[in-house]
Amino acid sequence: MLRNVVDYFQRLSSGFGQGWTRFWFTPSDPATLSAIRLCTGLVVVYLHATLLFDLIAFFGPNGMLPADEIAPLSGATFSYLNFLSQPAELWAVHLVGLAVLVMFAVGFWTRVTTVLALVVFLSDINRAPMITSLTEPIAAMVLLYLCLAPSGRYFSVDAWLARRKRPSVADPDAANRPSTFATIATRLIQVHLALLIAMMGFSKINSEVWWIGTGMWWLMARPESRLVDVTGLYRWPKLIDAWTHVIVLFELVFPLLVWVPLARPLLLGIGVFVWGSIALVTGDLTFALMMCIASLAYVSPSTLRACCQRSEPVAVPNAA
Amino acid sequence: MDDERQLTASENRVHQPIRMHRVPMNKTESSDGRGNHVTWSAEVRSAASLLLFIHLFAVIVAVTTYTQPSLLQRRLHELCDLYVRNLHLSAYPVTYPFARFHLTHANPTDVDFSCEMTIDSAGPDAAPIVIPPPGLQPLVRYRRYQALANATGTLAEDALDDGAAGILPRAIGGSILKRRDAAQGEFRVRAHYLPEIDDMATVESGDRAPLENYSNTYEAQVFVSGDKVEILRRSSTLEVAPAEGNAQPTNTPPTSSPPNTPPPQNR
Repeated sequence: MLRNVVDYFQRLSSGFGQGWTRFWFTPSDPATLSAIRLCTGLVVVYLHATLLFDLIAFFGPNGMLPADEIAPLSGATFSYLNFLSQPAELWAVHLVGLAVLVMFAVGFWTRVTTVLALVVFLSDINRAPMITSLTEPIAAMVLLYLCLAPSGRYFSVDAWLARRKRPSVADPDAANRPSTFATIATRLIQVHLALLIAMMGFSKINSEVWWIGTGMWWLMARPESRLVDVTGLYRWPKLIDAWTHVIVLFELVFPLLVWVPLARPLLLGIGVFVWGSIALVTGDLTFALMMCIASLAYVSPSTLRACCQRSEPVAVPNAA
Repeated sequence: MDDERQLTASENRVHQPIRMHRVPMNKTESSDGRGNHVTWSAEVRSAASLLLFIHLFAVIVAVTTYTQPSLLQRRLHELCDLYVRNLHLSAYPVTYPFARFHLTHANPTDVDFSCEMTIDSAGPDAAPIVIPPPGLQPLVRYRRYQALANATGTLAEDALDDGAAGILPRAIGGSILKRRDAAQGEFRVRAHYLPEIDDMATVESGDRAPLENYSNTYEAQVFVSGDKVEILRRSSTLEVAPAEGNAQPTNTPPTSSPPNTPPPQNR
């Protein structure tokens, strides 16, 4: 009896170790991460660039959000913007930040600009978290994990430059070399996103309005936020109930079934509907966009490259 | 063609069950027991696994602390605070209630707010300055101002923490007054309460009350003297609340009444 128990735990330990190694450390192709980099880059460029219009109004002299006054609400977080308040300084630093984000989006010096892009984006967020929305936590999470991976290997200026230099590249097979860092980054996005969506579901079932089917009503009834007015749906309360229940069910089921290859395409398709519908009624389009972009982490690189036939793998000297 | 086939096989490992790899192992390569190919040595994998454990632990603490955290969760969050907050992985407790839909968790009480500032010297007929300014484009700019108004309103609604409630009204009101060279004005936060689904039928019959259910949740007089900003909140019980300069957090510089501060009034 005791021997069986010991055997069981030995098999458990061995199986867990092998599974852990297989899950995190089997090298893979960074094509999906490259696509995520491109899309996330465009979103963060948009967010950063639009902040330019109100930079002085928020952070300038006599701005609405003086760093020292709102410090108790921001917490002990780092932002280089905390040290700046003069318009010229703010403009200069913000434009440099914009240049970094554009370089990251187009994939130029990607390994360096990814880290710098994270610093720029987190500085924007940490300077005044009260003007952020749902989008920033998702974008920050994706940016953080992209720092680990060679996300400039495809869809990037780095790839284009490497293609031009191909004859001089010592190791032409480098382009096809799978990367362990790519696997770790992909897995981290997958696990983190699954956790977030699970908590979205759990927090909803903790709330009465999502139990009784009126959760979506309270989202669509907010006149200042919504993108389109769909309050006319009050005539079909069962439709609102169904919409609410589908979202809760999706958020509870997604973290479990997304790991099943057969269910994954279906869940990703439903996800587009769910995030799109939430964007429609909350008006937060960038949030829906970021959820869809982060969900790309569940799409295999071969599927992705099948959709982008013209993109060929090329050597990148600084790829992991 | 062979290269492409080999690449396709390797890239699918992250997304599909693992297949056999035909590439010969070098001295740092090892097998995971199923014939799958890993390139990192056991020592490197151990170190990486430790870092992954630590990071995922912090992430799980940050994510699960979002709603109704237990005492243990709070303590653990404090442990990971510096890490998760600087990386914006946490919604608790500073970011919340700003990002009220961080996890798209709507409540009937999560209403939209607007801030209004009436400058006294502008005359009684002057239109108040409203945040968010209507018609702001691109849309994300409007949403930033809306988030600011919502944060102001949510904090202002919390009658238990008068110091925190006054931080944003003081900052916003002071900014508006300074930029217009004005000495004082009235700052209001208005909540737009949401209509019940059952009330919507009356909207069609001409009764717009459910759609126009506004209420002032915070009112204060803001004074500017030099660089200093003073705010006097009006109590909801129609009595004068103490100046918030007395109740502010310790890391905010103390404010003093400007020389021409009028006596508080009952309204």
